[in-house]
Amino acid sequence: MSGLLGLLDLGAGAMTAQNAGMAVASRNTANVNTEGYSRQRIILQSELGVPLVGGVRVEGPERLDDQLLALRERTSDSSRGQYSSLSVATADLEAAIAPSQGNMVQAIAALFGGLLDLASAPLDASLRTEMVSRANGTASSFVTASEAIASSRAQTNARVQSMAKEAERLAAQVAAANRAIAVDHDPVLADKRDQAARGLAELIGAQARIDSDGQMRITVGGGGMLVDGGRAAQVVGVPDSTTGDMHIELRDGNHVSDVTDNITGGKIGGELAFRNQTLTQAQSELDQLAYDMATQINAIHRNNAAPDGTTGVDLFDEPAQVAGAASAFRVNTQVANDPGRLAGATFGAGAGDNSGFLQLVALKDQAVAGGGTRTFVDQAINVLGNVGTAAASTRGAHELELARSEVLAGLRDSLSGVSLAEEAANLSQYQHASEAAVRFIGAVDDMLDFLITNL
Amino acid sequence: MRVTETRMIATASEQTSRQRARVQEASDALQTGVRVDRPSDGVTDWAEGMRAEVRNTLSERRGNAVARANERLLESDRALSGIGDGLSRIRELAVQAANDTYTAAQRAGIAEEVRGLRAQMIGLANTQGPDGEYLLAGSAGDVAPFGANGVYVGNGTRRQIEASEGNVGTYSVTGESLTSARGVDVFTTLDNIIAALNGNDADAVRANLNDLSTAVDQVANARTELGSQSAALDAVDNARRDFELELARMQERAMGIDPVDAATDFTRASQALESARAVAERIVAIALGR
Repeated sequence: MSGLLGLLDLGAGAMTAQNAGMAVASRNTANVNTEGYSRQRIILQSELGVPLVGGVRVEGPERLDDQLLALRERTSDSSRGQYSSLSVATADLEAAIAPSQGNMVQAIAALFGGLLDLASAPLDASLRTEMVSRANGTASSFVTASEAIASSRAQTNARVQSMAKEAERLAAQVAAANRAIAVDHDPVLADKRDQAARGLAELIGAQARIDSDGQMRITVGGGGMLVDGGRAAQVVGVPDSTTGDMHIELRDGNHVSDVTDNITGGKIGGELAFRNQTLTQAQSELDQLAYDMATQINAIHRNNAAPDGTTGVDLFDEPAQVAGAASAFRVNTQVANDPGRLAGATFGAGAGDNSGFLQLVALKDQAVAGGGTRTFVDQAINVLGNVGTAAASTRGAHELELARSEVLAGLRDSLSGVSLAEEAANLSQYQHASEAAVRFIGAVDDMLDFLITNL
Repeated sequence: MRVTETRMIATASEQTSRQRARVQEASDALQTGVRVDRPSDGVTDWAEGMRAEVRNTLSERRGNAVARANERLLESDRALSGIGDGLSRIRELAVQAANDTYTAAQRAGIAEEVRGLRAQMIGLANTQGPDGEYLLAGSAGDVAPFGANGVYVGNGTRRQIEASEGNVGTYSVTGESLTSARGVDVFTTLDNIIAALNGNDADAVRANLNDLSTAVDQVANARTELGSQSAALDAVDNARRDFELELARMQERAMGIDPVDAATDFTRASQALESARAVAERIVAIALGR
């Protein structure tokens, strides 16, 4: 009697195990399109008993994942995020300062073209007016490029601040998941934590590890603790009081650490690299070129005479220093208001003398820019070319990172992805096994019924 | 390796998107004829194309300068031609007046005609260009170079322009051609003849005939010089046109598409897109169990 009752337990245990398998297969199927979901499985262990095998025991469900692969994915996410930001920002900058029509190179060519024209008829009032217009166009092209760089810097800072908020939100998610995992072993919590950790890697290049206590700890920039178990630091974008450039601070209680210089990965790392390297270099080269052009042209122009014999004035506003020369590049108001002040004659040589204009024309062929190594046109090509090179290289690096991510996603999918065919087979298998258990219980029940009736 | 349906669909979708972008890129290149539009499309080619464009822009402006210089030479030649004609007529009249049979009244009549011609010649020597510049004034182009007394107040500085890359040439003559700097002072010679005619002095008229001939030669020499300069400008201008065509070709080579390559690329991209679509459809059908 007791043996039959034991068989009933055996059948019930089998049915419970197969039902758990069906539940896991159903959950896997339901989450086939859930981003970050790792498939789960149950493990059926044989239960030892006397005198027969003691039936089946269910362990799990367990989550199919690989922490080494997850680490590689987070590293890849960090690089992909970095180059994603860099490539988009650099391409936008290139589009703003190097359009195919109306760029700085063409404006410089137009300026010297105007001088060539004017040198052939220095007293022609219409050519003088046109020359002033061309000088204005050249100055505008520098101002426009400089404004584009400034606007790009402002947008980058705004994006950094917005990303800092998002990073803080994700860090809070990881901390919340850590707290929940401490008391609940639901695999979905680990999925959510991994997903948030990947988001942090992509956003701020955060490095995560899971310690022996099962808690995930996340650091930024090689030291700043972003998530420590159930606690998450605040991530705050703080504008620099002098430059206005956004800094990233981690705040945990009273402890504040500026991690800006240590963030080299993730989208924020990409934005910071773009701001601190690409934009700074472009602005510096642009300012230097504007300074060289204005000072070199002025040096000739101011030593010449206007048609009325008066002393030449500066053609462009003389820059006081290199920094800011591009944004301050303007035609001297006296010349802008009166093209007759364009000075192209040697003093005392007569109003129709064009030797000063010819000197200005000759400047186009002289290596007076780029530290005395290039002509103005070549240096402008170099400035825009440097931005283009940065855009091309970051685009290439981003494509490489995307390819790497695809490979890793494939590897992850091969381990953790849900296959509908597999799950359908599992479901069918568990269903049949469950039905068998039901029949087994039915048979034992019949036997018990027979015994009770006939004894 | 285990591959799930989700992964297969995602890969097929990415492939289709990638091929669609490639078709779009190839189509854009075919439609615009532009391969390199921005520095990042190929820094070296872009830089080469920009340099060619800049050189072309400057060459076109040189073309304007050359055209303007040529117009100036033609105007100057027209003025010198009129002056030469006037001098020839005056020489004819002077030869006649040198004849001893001429009376004082006849010489006075000739003197009157010479005075009229002289005035016309002063006007021609003060010819202005379309911008109001006195063409024979040298670099003092804002002041009439010859006063009513025939004295030259201009200078000998001649107009230079950059006619071709790195080549500055001189393309003008000045009123000095009509002064003693180049032989005799034309208007002083005319004044001497007029005085001799008014003084009914046949010997004095004869004495000035040589100077008059020299003046005619001076003008002819100046016109010859103008002709040489004009021919040189024409040659430079012809070379400039060829140069600009070559620059346009250089720019096209650097930044434009090769039509055959572009068409081939477009065809390949279209075929790849079709293949990617077919694979995607098959994968979706498998996933749906069809």
